[in-house]
Amino acid sequence: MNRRPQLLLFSITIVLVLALSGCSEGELGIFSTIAIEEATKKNNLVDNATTSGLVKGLFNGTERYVVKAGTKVFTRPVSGNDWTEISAPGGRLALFVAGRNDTATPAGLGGDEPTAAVGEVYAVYQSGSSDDTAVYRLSGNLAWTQAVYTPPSGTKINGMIGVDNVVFVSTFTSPTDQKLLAWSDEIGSVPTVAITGFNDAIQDGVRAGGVGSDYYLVGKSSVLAHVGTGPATTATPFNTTTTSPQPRGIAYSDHGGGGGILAVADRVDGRIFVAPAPTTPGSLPSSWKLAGTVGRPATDIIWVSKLNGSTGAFLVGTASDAIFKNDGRGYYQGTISGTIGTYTISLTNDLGNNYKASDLAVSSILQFRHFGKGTVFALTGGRGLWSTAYPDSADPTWRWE
Amino acid sequence: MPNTRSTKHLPRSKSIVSMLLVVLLLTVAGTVSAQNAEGEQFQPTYSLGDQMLSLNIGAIYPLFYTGGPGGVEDANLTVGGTGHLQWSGFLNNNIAIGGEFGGMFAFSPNGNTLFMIPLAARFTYFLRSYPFEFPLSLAAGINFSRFEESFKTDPILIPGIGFYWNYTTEWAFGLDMRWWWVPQIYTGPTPPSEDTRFGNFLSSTLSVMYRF
Repeated sequence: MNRRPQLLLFSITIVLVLALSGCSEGELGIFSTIAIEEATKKNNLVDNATTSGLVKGLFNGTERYVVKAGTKVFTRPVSGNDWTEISAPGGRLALFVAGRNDTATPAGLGGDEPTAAVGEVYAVYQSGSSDDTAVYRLSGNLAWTQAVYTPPSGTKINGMIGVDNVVFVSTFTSPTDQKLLAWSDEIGSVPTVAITGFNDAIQDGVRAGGVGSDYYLVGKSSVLAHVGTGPATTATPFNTTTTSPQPRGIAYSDHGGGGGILAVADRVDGRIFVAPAPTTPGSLPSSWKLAGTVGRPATDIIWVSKLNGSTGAFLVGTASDAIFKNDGRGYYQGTISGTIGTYTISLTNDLGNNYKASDLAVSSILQFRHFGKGTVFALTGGRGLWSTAYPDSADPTWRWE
Repeated sequence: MPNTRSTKHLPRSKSIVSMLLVVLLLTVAGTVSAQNAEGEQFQPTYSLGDQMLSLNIGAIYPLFYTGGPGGVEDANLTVGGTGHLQWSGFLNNNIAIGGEFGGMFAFSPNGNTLFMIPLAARFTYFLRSYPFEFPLSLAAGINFSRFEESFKTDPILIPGIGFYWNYTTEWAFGLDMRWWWVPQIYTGPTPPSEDTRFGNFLSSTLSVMYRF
């Protein structure tokens, strides 16, 4: 009998199966996922870019969102859906975008993780032909002008975030010469303040709403900094009671009254540590306790006060557990219970059909942004920007920006 | 080349009806053939040792899923494309066994693509009324599914019926309708057992068959 047809069938099948099988069963069933998939509403921002540094600013009387997508910066009105690109200065590539409020005591931001509501938006641009970086400020007519602050010659910027009315910039001249600067005022002189001991790339920051309203910042290699409103500054290793933490996000919650709590999302196994927020100005939180884990690298954490019938909940972003692995698992929602010293966070990613069937659920979420009134943005690695008006208790409906 | 193959003459009335149907088919298909028009009418038969290859291309209609807590659920996929290649060996004039592999794709509401590749053993029983034949088939095997980053191997059953016109003793053309039943069973904990579904799809394909 001629066996060529059988061999042909077998060979082609093996090749195709091997081509298809380079992935796992995933977290959810295939047919069950498809059955509940809802068409995601979309805006026109590029879908397959890594996004970061979303801020909200006021430009010629119009509130706008500004975000870095890939190496470009885009904007849209808060009340609109149409994203447009902001031309880069001299064809440079955008590295970071951050913003700051222009009021010293912004009102109404409460326990959210505030980003610039109104104020100034900055971007760090790198020349395409060299490593030099420069900071630019976005003017009211959406044009970049070079900021007063200029990194010293030979210094590169490896992180920039805005928390309330302060922009924080981490710089380095070599791997052993890294420092964090608090850069709080663009108008007139630039009172940059080096934060002693913070020799790291800045990851995230939050302003605690308790006594003192101080800033707490985390660095990539396990550094925690406190920046007082003075500003007095200190930085110490984060949570020395646990093994090699790698903090990626920090959030403040007014849960439990008193000074509230601080929560840190750790890359290692997605551990969530919580500690009472200091009630004495100028002090650092201590007594970090493991309150929950998501089982894969955590990337960011925010507190959304409206969730769970206004009780509030944490949102914890996650990333793939290996470099070059494209198996993100979106985010988890965490409900906190207990009291100081015994806090536990129950985490779930069972967040409704819209979410579960969306590309967001299989994305690596690198950052969250929360602009009050439940408006939450998820900034992803390679899957663009997502937004939702988080409801009080129902499941969220995400829009792919 | 054909192996042991015999012929037998057809009654004249049957031959006329058959010829009319052949002409009709040729008209529809836009194909002109004078196959056997001037020669003797014969009905090929196949026996042990004869083989056949067929290639099918067409559409697949995702129908519904069962087995979920909500009962029957819409498949929530677009009409997709499908095709398969199958080989069989005849045991006698009516029965052939062999294997097949194929594939399908269809799109979810967000444009994500479901791919399925069945690899199956196939039993075929031919009902014949020369120059037409109606293969009843049942394929059973394994099915490889991929959707976004998820991959799953499941069993599959594919019952089907076809309608073929024999152009020559070697070549036949026709239409196949087949039902894909894919029990996608999860035992938990990830994915959870609640995600078990039984997928139902209907394929409709044009086919070309070659016997040798």
